Amino acid sequence: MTVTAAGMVLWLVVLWPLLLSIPALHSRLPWPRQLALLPVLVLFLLPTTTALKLPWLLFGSGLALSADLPWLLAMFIVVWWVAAAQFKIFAQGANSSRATTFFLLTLAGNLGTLLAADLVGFFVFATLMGYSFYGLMLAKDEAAAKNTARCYVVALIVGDLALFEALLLAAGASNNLQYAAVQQAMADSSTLPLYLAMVLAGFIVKAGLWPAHIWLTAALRTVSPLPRILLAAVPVAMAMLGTVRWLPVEMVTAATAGYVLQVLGALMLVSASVKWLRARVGAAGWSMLCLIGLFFFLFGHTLVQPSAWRSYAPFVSPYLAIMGIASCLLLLPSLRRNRAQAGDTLSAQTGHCLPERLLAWLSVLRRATVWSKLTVGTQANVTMLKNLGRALTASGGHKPVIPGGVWAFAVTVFVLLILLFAALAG
Amino acid sequence: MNWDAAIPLLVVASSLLPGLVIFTLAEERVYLRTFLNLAGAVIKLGLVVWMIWGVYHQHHYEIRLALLPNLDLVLRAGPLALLFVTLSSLLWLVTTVYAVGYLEGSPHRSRFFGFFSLCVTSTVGVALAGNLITFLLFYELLTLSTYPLVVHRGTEEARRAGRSYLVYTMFGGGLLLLATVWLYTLTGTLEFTPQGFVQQVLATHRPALIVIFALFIAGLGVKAALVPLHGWLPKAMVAPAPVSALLHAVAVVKAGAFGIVRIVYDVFGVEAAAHLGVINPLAWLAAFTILYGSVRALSQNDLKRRLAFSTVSQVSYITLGVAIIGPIASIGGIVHLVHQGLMKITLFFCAGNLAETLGIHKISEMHGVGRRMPWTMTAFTIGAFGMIGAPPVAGFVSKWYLGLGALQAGQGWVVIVLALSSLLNAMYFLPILHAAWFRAPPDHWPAEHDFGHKETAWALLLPPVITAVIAVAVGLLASAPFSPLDWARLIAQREFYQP
Repeated sequence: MTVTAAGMVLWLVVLWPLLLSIPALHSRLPWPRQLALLPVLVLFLLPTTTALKLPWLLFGSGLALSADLPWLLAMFIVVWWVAAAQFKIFAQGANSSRATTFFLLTLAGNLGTLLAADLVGFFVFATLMGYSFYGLMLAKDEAAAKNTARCYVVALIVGDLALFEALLLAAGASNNLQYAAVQQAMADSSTLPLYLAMVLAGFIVKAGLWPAHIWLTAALRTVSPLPRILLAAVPVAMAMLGTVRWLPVEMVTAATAGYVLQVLGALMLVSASVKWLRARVGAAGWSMLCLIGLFFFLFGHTLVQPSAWRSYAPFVSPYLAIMGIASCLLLLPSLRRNRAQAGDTLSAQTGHCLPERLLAWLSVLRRATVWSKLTVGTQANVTMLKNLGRALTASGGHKPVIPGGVWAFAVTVFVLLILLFAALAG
Repeated sequence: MNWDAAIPLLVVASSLLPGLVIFTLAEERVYLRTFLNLAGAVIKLGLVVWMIWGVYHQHHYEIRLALLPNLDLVLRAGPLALLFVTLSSLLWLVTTVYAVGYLEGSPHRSRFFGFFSLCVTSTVGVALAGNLITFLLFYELLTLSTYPLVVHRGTEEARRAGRSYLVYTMFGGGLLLLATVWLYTLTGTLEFTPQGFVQQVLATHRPALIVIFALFIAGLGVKAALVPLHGWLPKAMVAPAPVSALLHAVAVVKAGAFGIVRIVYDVFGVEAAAHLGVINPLAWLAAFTILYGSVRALSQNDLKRRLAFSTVSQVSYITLGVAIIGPIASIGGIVHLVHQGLMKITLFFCAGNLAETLGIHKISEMHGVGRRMPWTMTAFTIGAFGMIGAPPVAGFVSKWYLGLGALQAGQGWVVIVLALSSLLNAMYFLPILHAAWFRAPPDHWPAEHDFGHKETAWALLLPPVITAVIAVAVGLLASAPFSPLDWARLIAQREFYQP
């Protein structure tokens, strides 16, 4: 396959669910949600250097594969396949077509965000994904989800505004808006502090990090099981991925921003635990919130000590992937409960949903996934501890990474315990 | 007179002649009237496409007709003129289709379509005007030809709105005339020139030029709905939906904004305007109007009034883009002339569809309307997201260039205004979308008309769908050749880089 043809496949894979989202089309096809996912498998066959930039599209946007994408694509496939398989429980009758449209639009946005080769592409697809996810949250007409969706959309707008300002700063500093070029340009730019603030503000709100976690914890409690199992993989993981892709990590030292992130990350861990203890989120949600906190805690560390990024970088994709998959699978019981509550009305459609036996297997897989998440978490934590140790023992030019090494150690142990509890409770 | 010189005249005549014939037609000559309307619109669009091709290949389209001693009536197709003419011609075609469907069976259609054609003739004249006197003539003709459209329903409310419209716009026209005559006495010319023609008297008549600039802005600001001269616009919402679309997207408001662009670029020139110190106050006024319009829109329950205040806000983006001295912001302002037109006409078409099909006039009546009229509300959603500035709809491209241009010009406060404006736009558009898509529909709509299995008549449904698709296409294909953005770049290049 030629480079251009492979690049066109990338675009087709994204455009396919977009096309299927037209009600007149998907209502005439069997299994439209599963059909939308099928072409994604082709991406695993393409070389990781595949890319296609379309100079006439928007400001010259493109899609590209990269070495870290297989992990994220694997998450994408697992999570969306589970969601597609469970869709019939989520929406039936008059709601089904509308929900399918939002489902496919969110899927297209999610996939585009993953594959976007530049900041504008990321922003465009993330916007599509974000607003479609809002529709998915509300597709079932549940009163409890409405307030949550309102919180979510406010977070989305505020986050998008901050990111739009960051985009303008990036475009002011660099004519090329591909990730690497922007990172390089911003590292040398006088507007870096503002850019950093805008990007972090935008993605913190979108990822639901403390104190912008309100929409996320509310979503874990009130929205339908289907959007709930997508929460970690869709809005949250993409915001965390955006943080890594947009910022010039390893190139700049931003101690203040790093400390702030570390504090927010730690507060997220505490906040999640409090919510868990007060039974406002279940173990699955608790684990997800903790992983968000941990991610930003570690990311803050890289802003304080850029060299640490080399140790963390290989873990980012697996970390996000396993967070998405684990949260999805941990939340599956809520879908099963939902299915049980649906009762007789669904019995005729059981064939369209996951069979009981498969659900049982998934339950086993879910436990296994939590443990594997723990494994990645462990690797990340060990790496962080090594870095902390180096920083604390260094003489001369090095400042301690965070005040008090004991506290840092405690946070790490705390996270490990959380993951352990989540695995057992799940 | 060669063929190239005749084309601008033919573009004007292609709507003028059908309009004059339509006035004489009896009410029942529906097919002939529709044929004349559509034939005129198609011919005009064809001629405009021809001129675009020609201008791209360095053809010069200009005609001069003696009007007064030393003052000619000049029609000239430069890049800026063509951008506006293309917009007007394209949207006139779709608005004509829409108006034919909208007014089916209603009285006084010959009068309506006659003035409708005259209105577009005037707009095209405004766009192609090669000097201030030609601009002024067509600008006033636009006022006179639009008034009967505003009062078309003949109700007391419509007449009141018409009076308000006439008072405001005639006052603006008076200021414009005063400024034009005064400028002519100082410079001895009124010919639009790239980078302006006032430099020769800049040193000697600085105070007079500042006053003249203010008079121009006040005169044009009425139609461009700059605060505090915007009062006529929300009142004029009593007019039928095709007229609202025409006022907001194709003709009147756009003529005002286009006039401001002409005054800054081709009468004063950006350098002279900056030297006079009049540009920053213009930017502040535009910024204030942007925020004021959005804030007022928040509290409107009447859908068309909310859209009207949205226009007050959005049209000032054009003025703001021009007032931020720099090529990139200028691109943003100029391209928004087209983008705002596409998005706003979509919204007004949809508002008209809701009123005609279900009798919906208020936002509080829109619960669940997305399920009853999915195509209309999809088009509305695209228009609304475009206004907010969400990608990839056209509005995103405008805001991108305005923001980037502001940063380039060192005017960071503009970015804050844009962000606030986007936030306010989201605050007054998203609740509409939420109500339409996610709330349960009522048992009965206010006044439902039966269109069989269709959501509404084809003539009403196709125009908003087409304009919504174009609004997405011009955003997505912004960097493609011949896109509005490409054209705006060409215009900005002419203004800022010509030696």
